[in-house]
This record gives sequence, C-alpha cells and structure tokens, in this order.
Amino acid sequence: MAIRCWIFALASPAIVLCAEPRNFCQPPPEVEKAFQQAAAASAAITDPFAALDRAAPFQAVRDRYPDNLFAHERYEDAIHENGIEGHLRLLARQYAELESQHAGDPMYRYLSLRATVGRSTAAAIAGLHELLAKNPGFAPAHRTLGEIYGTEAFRQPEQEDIEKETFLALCPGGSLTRRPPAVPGPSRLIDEAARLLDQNGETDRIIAMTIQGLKEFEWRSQRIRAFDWYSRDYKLQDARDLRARYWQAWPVQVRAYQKAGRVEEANTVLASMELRAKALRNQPGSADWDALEVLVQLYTEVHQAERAAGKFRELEQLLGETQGPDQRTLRAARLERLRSLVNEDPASRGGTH
Amino acid sequence: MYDEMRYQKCPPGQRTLGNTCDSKERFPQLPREGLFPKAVLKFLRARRGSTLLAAMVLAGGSCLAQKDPGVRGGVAGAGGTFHPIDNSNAAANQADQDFFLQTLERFQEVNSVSGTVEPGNGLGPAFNLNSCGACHVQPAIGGSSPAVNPQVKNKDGSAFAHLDGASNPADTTHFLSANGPIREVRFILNPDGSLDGGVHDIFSIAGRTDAPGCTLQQPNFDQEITNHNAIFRIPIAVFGDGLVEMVSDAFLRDNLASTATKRAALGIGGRFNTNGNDGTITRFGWKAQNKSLLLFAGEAYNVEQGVTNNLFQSDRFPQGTSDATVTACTFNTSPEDTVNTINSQANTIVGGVSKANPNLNKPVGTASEMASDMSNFAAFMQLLAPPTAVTTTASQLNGLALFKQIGCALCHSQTLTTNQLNGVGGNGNNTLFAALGGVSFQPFSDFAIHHMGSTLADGVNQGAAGPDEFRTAPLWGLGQRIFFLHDGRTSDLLETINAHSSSNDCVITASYEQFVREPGENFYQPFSQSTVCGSEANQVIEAFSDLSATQKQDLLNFLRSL
Repeated sequence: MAIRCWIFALASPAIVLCAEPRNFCQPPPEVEKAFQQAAAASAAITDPFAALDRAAPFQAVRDRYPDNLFAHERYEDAIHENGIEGHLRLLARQYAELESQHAGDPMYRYLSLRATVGRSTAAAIAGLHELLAKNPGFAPAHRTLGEIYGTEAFRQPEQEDIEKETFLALCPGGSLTRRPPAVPGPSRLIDEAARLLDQNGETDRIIAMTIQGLKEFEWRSQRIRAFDWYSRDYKLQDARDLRARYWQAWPVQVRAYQKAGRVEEANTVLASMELRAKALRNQPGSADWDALEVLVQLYTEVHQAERAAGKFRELEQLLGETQGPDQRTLRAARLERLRSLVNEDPASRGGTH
Repeated sequence: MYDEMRYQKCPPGQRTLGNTCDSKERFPQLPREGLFPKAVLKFLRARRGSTLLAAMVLAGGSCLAQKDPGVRGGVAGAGGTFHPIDNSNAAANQADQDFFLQTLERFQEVNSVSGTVEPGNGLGPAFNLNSCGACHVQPAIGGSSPAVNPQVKNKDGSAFAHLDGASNPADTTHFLSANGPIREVRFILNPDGSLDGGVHDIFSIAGRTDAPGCTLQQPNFDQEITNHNAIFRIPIAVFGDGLVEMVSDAFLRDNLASTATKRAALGIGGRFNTNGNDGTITRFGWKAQNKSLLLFAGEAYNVEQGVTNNLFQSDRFPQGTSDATVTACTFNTSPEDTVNTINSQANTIVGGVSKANPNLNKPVGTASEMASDMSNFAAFMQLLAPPTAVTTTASQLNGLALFKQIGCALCHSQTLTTNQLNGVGGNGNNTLFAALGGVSFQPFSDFAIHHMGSTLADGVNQGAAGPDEFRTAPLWGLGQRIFFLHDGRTSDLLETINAHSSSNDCVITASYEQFVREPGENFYQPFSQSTVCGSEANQVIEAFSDLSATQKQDLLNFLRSL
C-alpha cells in the first residue's frame, strides 16, 4: 500500500506529514456504490454508437473522486469497452496530460500506461515493468500485467502466474479482469430485414433496418480494428466478413424496392453493386465469385436477362481461373444451378420485359 | 504575422489607400455594412464592378461571328505515358510501363471510411470527392472536370451527397450542379476577420454506414456565399506535370527574363511563387503554391479526400469542431496512407495485363505495391505524358501566329525544356524517369504568377501569390477541357479570354506585423503593402479585341487544337 508523505523542513527537526494511505487493492464502498449507479446509467443508453455517452457516468465518478485509482480505472475501462479509434486517442491524450500534471506519481504513470493497453500494448508492458522496477509493491501494475499476459494476443502463462501471484500477495482476495473487453455481437438487423421482406413489410423500414444493420457491423468492426488484441489476419478476415454483409444487405434493398414498385431505386442499388463488384476482382477468398452470383440472381429476378447472362459469362470465366479441384467442383455445381435460373427467365427466352 | 486584404475601388489609374473612393451608389443591393467583415465587403464591391465590365465586354462581342468551337471530339489526346519510358532495353521499359499502369490503378482507387464498402480507406471526416480519378477525368484519367459532375451524381445515378447513407443536408445547388464543374470551396476570411483562404470540404462522412456515430456537420455554405466569403476552385489537369517538375528554376527564370522588355511594354509583370524555406520556385496549383508533385499529391489526398498521409498527418476538422465530434468521427489510425510493409494490392500488372497478385499479404511486392498511395499518385503524374495537340489546319496555324503576335505567348510560353538527366545508369541508377530528361515540351505557360485584376481575383493568398495573382494556366490540353478559369465559371473560350481583362479596380494587399505591447493588448504595425490596379493582360486583351472576327476565330480554333 502506498503512502503519500510530504516533508516540511522549515523547522528542525523535519516534520513528516503523511496523508491517508491510498488503497490500491479495492475501491472504498462509496466509490463502489457510485460504480453501480454509473453502470445502470450507462446501460440505459440505447444508442449503440454513443461511446462517450456510455462512458460519461463513469467520467462523472472519476471527476467526483479524482484521486481514486479505481475511479480512473473504471473510466478507462468504460472507454475500452465502448470506444473506437477516436475515443482511444482521447483517452491516451487525457492520461498523458494527467501524468504530466502529476509528474513522479506512480499512480498517474500507471494510469497513463494503462490507457494505452489494447492499443499499443507492447509499449505499455515495457512501461509497466519499468514502473514496477522502481515501485515493486505497486499492486495495480501487477494486476494489469497479469491480465495482459492472460490474453490470447500477449499470452505468457508463466508471466501471467507470476504477476497474478504477486498481485494476490499484495492484495489478498483481489481479482483480475478478463481482457479484452467483449465486442458487440453481430447485428441481426439485416436478417430481420430479409424476414420482414418475406412478410411483405414496409419498404422504408426494411431499407432503414439494412442501413442500421450495416452500421452496427461497421461499429463492431471498429471495435476490433482499433485494438492490438486482435491479429492482422483476424482483422483482415473481419473486414472480409464485413464486406460480405454489404453484399447481404444490398440484395435485400434491391428486392424491397422492386417489390414496392420503386424500380428506379432498385436499379440504382444494382448499378452501385455492379460497380463495386469490379473492385472485388482477385480479392482473397470468394468475394468476387459471390458478388457475381448475387448479381446473376438479382438481374434474373428483375428480368434484366442480358445483364444476368453477362454476369453468368463472367462466372464461367472465373470458374476457368479457379485453382484447386474442390473449389472448382463446388463452383461448377453452383454455376449449374444458376444456369437453370438464367434459362428459366422468360426474358432470356425472348420475353417482352 | 497578421495579414489583411483590402480591396478598394478607385478611379482608373489612381492608386489610393484608404476609403477615399466610395462607390456605394453603384451597389445598392449590398447588405448593410457591419454584418460582414469589411474586407469582404470591399472585395465584393470590386468584384461586382468587374462583373459589370465583363458583361459589357461580352455584350459588345456577342454580335461578332467568332465562336468557341467547343470541346474537341475524337480520341482523348492524353492519358497515357511516355513511349518508351526507359529506352535502355525492352524489359526495363515494360517494367516501367507496368509500374505506370499500377500507379494509374491506384490513382483511380475509390476510398471509403473503413475500406470495406470501397477498397480504399481513410475517407473523411470531410471531403470533396472519394477518388483522385473521379475529379481528374476529362478527357482521360489525369484530366479535369467531366461533363457530369460526380460531386452531384454517382455513376449509378444516385446523389453523391448521400452515398452509402451519408446525410449531407446542406444545399449546394448554389455552386454545384449536375452539368457544372467539380469544385472545392475556400473561405476568404475566418469568422474573426483574419485571413483564411483554406479549403472547406463540402461533404461530411456523417450518416454513412461506415461512419456510425459521427455527426460532423457541413459548413454553412449558404451563409458564406451570402456573405461573399466563399470562392471556388476546379481541378487542374495533371497531364505532363512530370515534365513541368523537371524544368530547372534557372530555366524558368531565364525564360521569364527573356520576355521582360516586351512584357513591360504591354504592362505585364510576372514573378514566381516561391517556397518560403529554400526560396525555390513553386509551380503547381492555381497560384503555383506547391513545389512538387509529391507535395501536391499529399496535400490533395488530405484536403480533398480527407486521407491522412506521411506529408499531411492530421484529420481535417472544421475550426471549432467539438472534442466529442472529433472523437466520434475518428475511425482510423493516422496516417491512413503510408508505405506498405505488407502487400495489400489484390491485383498486379505484368506485361501490361492485370492479374491476381501472388504477393498479396506478403512482405514483398513491386515498387508501386509497397509504396504509399501518395507516392503512387506522384509517380502517376510524373509519368503521365502531355496532351497531344492537333494544330494542323491553316486556321489553327494562323491562330498560333496571332497568339504570339498579340502577346498571349509572353506569359503562355510555348516551349520549355527539362533538365538533362544523368542518363541510364547514372545518378542512383534511376532510369524510371529517363523519358523526362532533356525534353522540350509545349505547356504554353511560364509558370509565373501574374496580377489578373478584380475580374478574376479571389481574395486568397497562397505563398507569395496575392488575392488577384494566378499562375499562367498551362494551355496544353485546353481543346478537350470543358470548364475554364480557376472557378470553372465558364465553358466558353471567348468569355474566358475576355475575363483576362479587368477594369482598373485596385487590389490592395497589406501585410501587418504583429507586436505585443503588453499581455492582452496587441497592436499591429504596417509591415508592407502592394497595390495593383487592373489586369496585367489588359493590353493583350485589347489587342485581341482589335483582331478581325476571322482572326479571332483562328485564334479560338488554335486554342481548341491544343
């Protein structure tokens, strides 16, 4: 437990005044209670993108208890649990300023390092070890290191055990938090919009749901890409998945407009998809194939036979370039299903559309 | 330094500082003084006067037979690279051609905020368009503003303002139209009356599906236009700019000096805009404010698309944007565009053919693949060949002769020559730009800045260029341009020529040095001032007016052959 002391040497002998020792093992009951109230207020905010609003109740607790480590930590956690790149930058800036205002105070050095955990974690680890070299009994740093070493991205089981044990020795009964904080689950709105479309739901509502769904997926992705808890490959896969969501949402929009007789709007979305499909050429995975399949289906549905046939020919060409026998077989089968779809379209048999 | 532009309407030939030449009665429709900064009001008055003058000139000329032949049809005489780029051997040349094609692809990449809905990332928070190739497109990639304004209409026919769910509710119809030029907006003054001159992006990412939570609003363009505080610029074609970059300062200075006597006789000045640090000539941009194509690329990427890069590393939020908005609208780490340590290009080009990149997601790749977007853009511009002129008919050739005879060519210098390179295997073994060395080319510009008077003055200072000073616009490729002058105000060549003349309105730029007497109390002491009345081109335009209708037509035909 750290004790903050001031030495007054105005008179002899020197007078040493020690302030209330700071408890770095657990928050006082009034702060704990404030956390509960803040958590309730934060949870009441329904806007999924209002990260600062969600963190605001915890910021208020911090402002009420400015010297309390846990109040700071909980605010930092609120940002880490809700924020994206901009919020993380803000947090790092705020705590760098606080550190400079409290130069030499290990608590603020620690908080400044902790603010960057999950963003530049390797540097934070090095900084925390430096801090502990000077202040070996600073329990929160051991706790945070234990948490970091327990993550998938920075896993070091032996180090995790050492830090955990040291922390528990300093703070018996203390607990560690699992990192990284959870990201929002995948949005269901696009699926729901598709279902609503099947049930002849209201067009504008369906469109709005797809847009909101995409925003929620983008937000989820932002909650991943800003952090170094996740590997580059994981982020790349997440970006590919996100792109696929657009290709899931756009057809719903086209079908919704088409169903409502808003042909011009349907065609606009289709034209936009057509343009964007070109950018997917040679992207890893099957993004370009999937996009072309979607376009063949949609053009068939809206009776644009020539365009459907054009996309079908592109798929045939792509099949010829497909590497790997398994994928070739799979794609050939999918192509055959599409062939029957294209051939069934009356427009492709000289229909009048 | 505190700069203040003052704009004073004076009788012809009279150069007066202060408010001795009041012309209020000529502009009864002006808003009450006090609502707007004084400098803006003065600027407006002078401009209104010029508009009247221009209208009179046009009215006088409208009965004449000469007519702008319009945008030259046929194939685009631009858009390719040099053949060969590298003449050391066929393989090296093919590699360089492939390099150029890769930079061309990058130039056309479309950006979104996160790189998901479109392949490029880093768009915003504010921007004017989402791809270099969308602005620079007429008559080919690298050119200028196209016939259908992509800031208004997407290729799919939808509204650009609302692309991907974006809100952008501001009314932009006062300065953007479907068949008008692509434009950027600059404000002359800041709200506190100090000089601004910077670009205020038209669109915000707010509302886009890839910018959830961002609520950044567009500037209040209506208010700025009402206050006459907004000016416009259009994209400049970048064909042949690699050659321009390769002309030495000494050559440019010699070229300007070679016409000094003739220019003086016609009242034409001219000087170079220069870099404040090293004093070298800057030559790119409407006011020749940028020194190099790399700088030009980096700045445009940041200013026009909002993509942070190694040269311009900060996201651009309008002055006064709240911390909460900045935080909520910051989605990517900065800089968003950097050198690539991992190859992220899905396509590569080999032997002129685009194909799947075998090095995708590996730490190896071609120079283009591993370079930043900004470097690719610069290389693309450097390797983009100049437009091909088709000056062949008797009328066009006569037009060229008249162009020289009446003095146009004193500023629109026909021929410049680039530096001699060290040759293949020379300095740094860099053969990539061998095609640019020791080349004589025809840009029809001296790349100097000239006072153009109040008809064209936009009130913006950039580097040494003052409110009415502009770089001599290179005329190459003019035959296939749709919009003319810095703000794209006209598509008519004759109107463009006439706009080079102005009444003798005086443009006064005063620069004040700031002193602090004591904390909290500042005063400003005049430091330097310059006054220019009328356009340096006035006498040349008079000479143009004196030409016969047939001669004028020949000159117009010549210009459209470029």
